[in-house]
Amino acid sequence: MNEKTTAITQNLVSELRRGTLVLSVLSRLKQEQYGYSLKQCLTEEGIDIDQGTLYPLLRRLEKQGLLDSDWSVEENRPRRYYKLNETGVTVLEELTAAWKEMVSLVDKLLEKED
Amino acid sequence: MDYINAYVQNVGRRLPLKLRKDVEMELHSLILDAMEEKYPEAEGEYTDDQQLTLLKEYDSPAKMAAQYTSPHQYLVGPRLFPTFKIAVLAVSGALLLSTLVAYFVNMQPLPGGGFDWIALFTAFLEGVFASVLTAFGSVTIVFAILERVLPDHVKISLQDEEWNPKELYLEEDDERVQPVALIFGVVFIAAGLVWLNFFPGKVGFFSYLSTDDFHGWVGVPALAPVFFSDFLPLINVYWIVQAVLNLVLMGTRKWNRVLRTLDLANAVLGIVIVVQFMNGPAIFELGEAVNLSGETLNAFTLVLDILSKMWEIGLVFILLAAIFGAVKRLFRIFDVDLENEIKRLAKIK
Repeated sequence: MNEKTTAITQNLVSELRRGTLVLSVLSRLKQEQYGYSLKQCLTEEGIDIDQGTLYPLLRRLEKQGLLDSDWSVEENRPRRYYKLNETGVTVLEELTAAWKEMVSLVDKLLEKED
Repeated sequence: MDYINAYVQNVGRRLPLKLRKDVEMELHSLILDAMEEKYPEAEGEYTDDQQLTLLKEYDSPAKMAAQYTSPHQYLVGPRLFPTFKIAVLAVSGALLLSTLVAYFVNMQPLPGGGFDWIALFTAFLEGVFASVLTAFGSVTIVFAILERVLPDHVKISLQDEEWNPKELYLEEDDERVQPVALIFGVVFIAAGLVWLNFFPGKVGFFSYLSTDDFHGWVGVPALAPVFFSDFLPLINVYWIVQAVLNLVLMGTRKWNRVLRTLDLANAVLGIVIVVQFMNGPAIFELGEAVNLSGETLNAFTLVLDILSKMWEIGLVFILLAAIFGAVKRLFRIFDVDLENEIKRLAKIK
């Protein structure tokens, strides 16, 4: 692959990843997490997400009514913890089903091309 | 320098007031978590280099702030705002220069030779004021459209990818006051009170007169009697309250809720005064002039006309600024110290 092709591929892979971020984040919030712990958790699972994307995303998801948050003070440091609420759990289930369906469809498409 | 706090402040400054403190606190805590992981040996005491190295991994304050707000929150958003400021300055500068050149080129000498500099200057001011306002409005409309039609990856900002954390600056604590500014405020208010109340005839135009019988400065009052009867009493109250507030703040060195409430009440009084100016009679009126030539009086009249027009237009902006200032003061009153509130709630749990 030449440089231009590599750059295009990287851009498209980033777009693919961006599309899965919300699902990845929601999947880790069945347990209470604060921003940094969530970032570490996702990194350990191989999902590298930028702080500038993750922290505002948590706020947006909360604003959309999928998460509940609460401040907690640990070792004199305030931390904002996020967790899926009832609506978030339902949305996660539906997103998971939609994801599995999409993966299955795309796999079939790719097999056909082969 | 506390680069972490400076970064957090610079992000917060670009956020709506209701979101600001909460996001600042969360971001500050998250950055400290990252610092602890990256530099565990530092045990909380981070050098400038360590802070700068970590902050370089974060987006620029403008980009970070833009992620927290919905795309059409602003007329001109954080990504385009730096470019917008430069565009306004550039267009205004170009207009000023071209207006100046045009007036010099079109200058007509007086029949007896020489130039009527006062008339030329006042006409120049009139032209500049109108064209700068038009330019500002046009640039704002263009950037408001760009804000809504440009895709995010095209939006150019001078504070983009290659931002330098070393260029961050840390604002002083919002609650602390600047004693020097307060002293200046009291001095200027005192000067204004004395001038308007005890030397009303000295508010106007002055001309140096040199005749066989008289050598010296001659003054022509420019404020109408109605200004002193209808408006000055309220202005006096406003200024006195402001001066007292400044003096108290010089003692306390910090705002508190009572002082902020008083500040807000005074700001509302300011709005009332501006509205009165807008609805009331004209405040500029050339007084009796003794010994001055017709030419000089005409020039003074011309300047006063310009001032009156500028005053009428300016009142709109003053009112908008006053309302904005009052709303900001209102928010500050209810801006509870979030960190202490959280610690208090944590203790209750």
